[in-house]
Amino acid sequence: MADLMQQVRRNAEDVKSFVGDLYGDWLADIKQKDLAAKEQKGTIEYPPIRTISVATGVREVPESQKIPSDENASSSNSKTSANATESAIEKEKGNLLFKKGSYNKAATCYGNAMKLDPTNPILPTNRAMAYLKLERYDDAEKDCTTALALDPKSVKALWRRGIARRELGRSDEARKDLELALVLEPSNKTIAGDLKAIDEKAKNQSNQQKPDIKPEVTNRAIGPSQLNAIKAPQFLTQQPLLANTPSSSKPRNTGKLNSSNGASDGPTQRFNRPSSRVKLPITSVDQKLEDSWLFTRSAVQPKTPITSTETETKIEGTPITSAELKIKETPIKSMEDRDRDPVLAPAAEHLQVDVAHASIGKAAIVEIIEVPENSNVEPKSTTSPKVAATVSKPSEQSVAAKASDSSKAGSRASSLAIDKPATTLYEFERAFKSLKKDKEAFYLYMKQFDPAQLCNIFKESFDSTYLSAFIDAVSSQYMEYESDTTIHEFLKNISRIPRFHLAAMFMTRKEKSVVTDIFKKLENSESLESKTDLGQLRKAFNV
Amino acid sequence: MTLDRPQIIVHLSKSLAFTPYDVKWVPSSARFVVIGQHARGTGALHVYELEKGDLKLTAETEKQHAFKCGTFGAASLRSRHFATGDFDGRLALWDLDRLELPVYSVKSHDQIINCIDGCGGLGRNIGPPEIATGSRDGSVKVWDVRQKDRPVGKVTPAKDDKTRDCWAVAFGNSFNDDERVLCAGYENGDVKMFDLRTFGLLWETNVKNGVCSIDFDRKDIRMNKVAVTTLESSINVFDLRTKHPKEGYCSVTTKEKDNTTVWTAKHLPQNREIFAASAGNGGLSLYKYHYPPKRSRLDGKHTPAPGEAQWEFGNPGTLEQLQHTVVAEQPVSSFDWSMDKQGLCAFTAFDQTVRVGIVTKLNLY
Repeated sequence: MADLMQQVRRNAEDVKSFVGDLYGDWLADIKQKDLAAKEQKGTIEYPPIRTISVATGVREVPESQKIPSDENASSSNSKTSANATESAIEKEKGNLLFKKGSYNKAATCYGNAMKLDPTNPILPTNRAMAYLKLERYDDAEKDCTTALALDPKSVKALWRRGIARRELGRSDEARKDLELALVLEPSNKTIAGDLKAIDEKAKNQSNQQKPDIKPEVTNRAIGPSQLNAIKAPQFLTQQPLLANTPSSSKPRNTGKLNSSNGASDGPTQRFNRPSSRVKLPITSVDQKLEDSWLFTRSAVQPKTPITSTETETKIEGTPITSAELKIKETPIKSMEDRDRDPVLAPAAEHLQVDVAHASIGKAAIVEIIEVPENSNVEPKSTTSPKVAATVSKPSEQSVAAKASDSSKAGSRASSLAIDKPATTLYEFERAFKSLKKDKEAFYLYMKQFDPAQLCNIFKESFDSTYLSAFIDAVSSQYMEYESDTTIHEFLKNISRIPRFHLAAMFMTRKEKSVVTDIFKKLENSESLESKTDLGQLRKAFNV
Repeated sequence: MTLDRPQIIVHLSKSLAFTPYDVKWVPSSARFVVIGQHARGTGALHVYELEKGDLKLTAETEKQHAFKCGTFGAASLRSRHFATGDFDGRLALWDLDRLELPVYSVKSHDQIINCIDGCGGLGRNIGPPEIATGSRDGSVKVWDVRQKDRPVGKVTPAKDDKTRDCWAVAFGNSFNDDERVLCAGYENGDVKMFDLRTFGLLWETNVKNGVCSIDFDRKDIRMNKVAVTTLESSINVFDLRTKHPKEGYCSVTTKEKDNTTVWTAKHLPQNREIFAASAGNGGLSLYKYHYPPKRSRLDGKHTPAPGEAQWEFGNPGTLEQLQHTVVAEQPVSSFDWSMDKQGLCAFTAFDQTVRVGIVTKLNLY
């Protein structure tokens, strides 16, 4: 009992002394420390931000460690194992690239891995596979030999070397390799198949489908539907189709379609691809329209313009010059849509639309096929607005911008005789694109316009290019052919177009001088009746 | 009541206008920070200073989202920025003198950050200063304040696995610039230890009940012991010096009374064999870990492969409860020892109070 009381008393004393110390010395001390800490000068050097550090070797630190000699040993160990891990990383990189189809890069990665770890037989085997894909059979064979030196029983190395040798024509050695591989792995049917292929290959020297290079290649390259679409064989065998992988549907997905240059990767392997010629085949219901595809400038003899009386559309645009027929970025969508809607009667119209769509995505330089209108085609005014309407969503500018130039329009254009003046900006642009190089034709075209309509056509989208073209036309053609009255009318109406003033500000000095000349001429002209508004017009033109 | 044992005395008590979730002493000072949630759902951050006989409120702020947890672990002594995790998943660093805007802020998780820990600061600069946050979305992310917007590393559950809330994180083994270990505890009882040097899983185990807190006895030494507390009143202390390749680390388990949740366990900064555990029944317990005579023994059953070391089992020690005192009517959800004064501690309870406690006689143990 007394002990208990003593204990209690002692505890109370403890607490008391604790608290006393707390508020006495300790508090003062700690406040000082606090201030000192705040006023600390100098920057603290922290170790770098942690990243996945691979080259630090052994992870498990054994218990008895930290003796200096051990550390040295472990550091050299760590170096070799560092290399091992680095080579593993390179190998993984290579594997990924291989899967993606970048065999060259994969081979490089495997090579790096091999440098870091020369003892690993898997690495040369993998590189051999990459070389096989690249059809570098010599190198593949060498790598397989290296691999076999490291691991004489490697089935993969034997197998791949067999294939390489087979492709090099050394069928006997190939056979030996493949047979040995088969012995090591009797259940592998592919090896057996390859073995048979040697015999076949020995017989048949021509380019045979290599069974080991995966058949998916062909399937991807030409879908059967697309194959059917190509009805004009003579043309298209020389210009094989664009290797559209149906899987890459988005027009923005340009990455896959750099196949126009016969990229060695993946599906394009099989096809001898002329370097820059790619065509857009279409599943066209309309034979004539299809024939229009064959209508190219120089490669094939120029055909007569299609009298597309049946087609309800007017595909206007630039004629394809084969030299220019580079689909740099492909409007795969157009292909696909065609596949989906092959029965769309105005298939070409559809094409137009799709192309327009496609061109919006990336800067797809699309060749718009042209079906030139003949004068005997009566204007189907119904469809063109339809076309215009459907395409008006995609920015019309892009269509105009992206369609290629029509060089050598020349006489062609005049025979084009786009004889219906545009009623919408879209149509005007189409015409403009095709005609802008050929002033004559442009002038003829512009003649058709009721100048008063100009306002309606342009609405809000008038810009300085058009103005320049107009001025140009006026200064050259109109001056020659037209009466001053017409010129006057024309100019007046131009000035009425909304946004004209903005465009007028962009006139170059040369243009301004041209316009000044025109006005001078107008002022001096006798035939012109009302000269009163010339002054105003001049102001409008800023001259 | 054992009278010649350390006494746990509640020295000061302060009533708060919000529910406190965490309390931390500001290093090298007589202040501590209490964070929590107002009734209206906003976040509260209060800084109190110990004064003669009372607590003085020196700074306070209210923020949009409630705070759940905080740490000074990655703070430098000079700036002492307080890292907080809030209910919105945001990690923010605060300068306690300028609480208007955080010094650093990142949307760490989509869901509430349940737990946070920092390492690499506080004057003992060993390794980069890092903050780990564990969230209800099951992921644990490690942040370095010098890198904006991207965590240094993260641990996410596999895609098809059911996501389990992460309830506790702790850094340890940070004895040099490279080495560091992160231990994470989940609601299903999983305890996983990740090596931050190689970003790999070192060890995992399951303690059968949701893990409420994890505490290494020291962060900045080679890992020695770790205390893992769970629901259903069990405290497990693992001996981390000996790892058996199959069995992992050995442990000793003790249970509190009443089948209550053990909310936190915190080792005394001045003595790593002693730790305090706070419980859901409002009680605080003091434990001491006794090492076994031999910390490891050889595994006789397994013959090692050539070149391999002999396998060893660790020997768990024993836990002795030094004291137990009921200090509140509600669960004591957080506890913190002062680094500067042995025996001085602060703890919060769900009765909306923060208390300053004194533990005597610790110098005798």
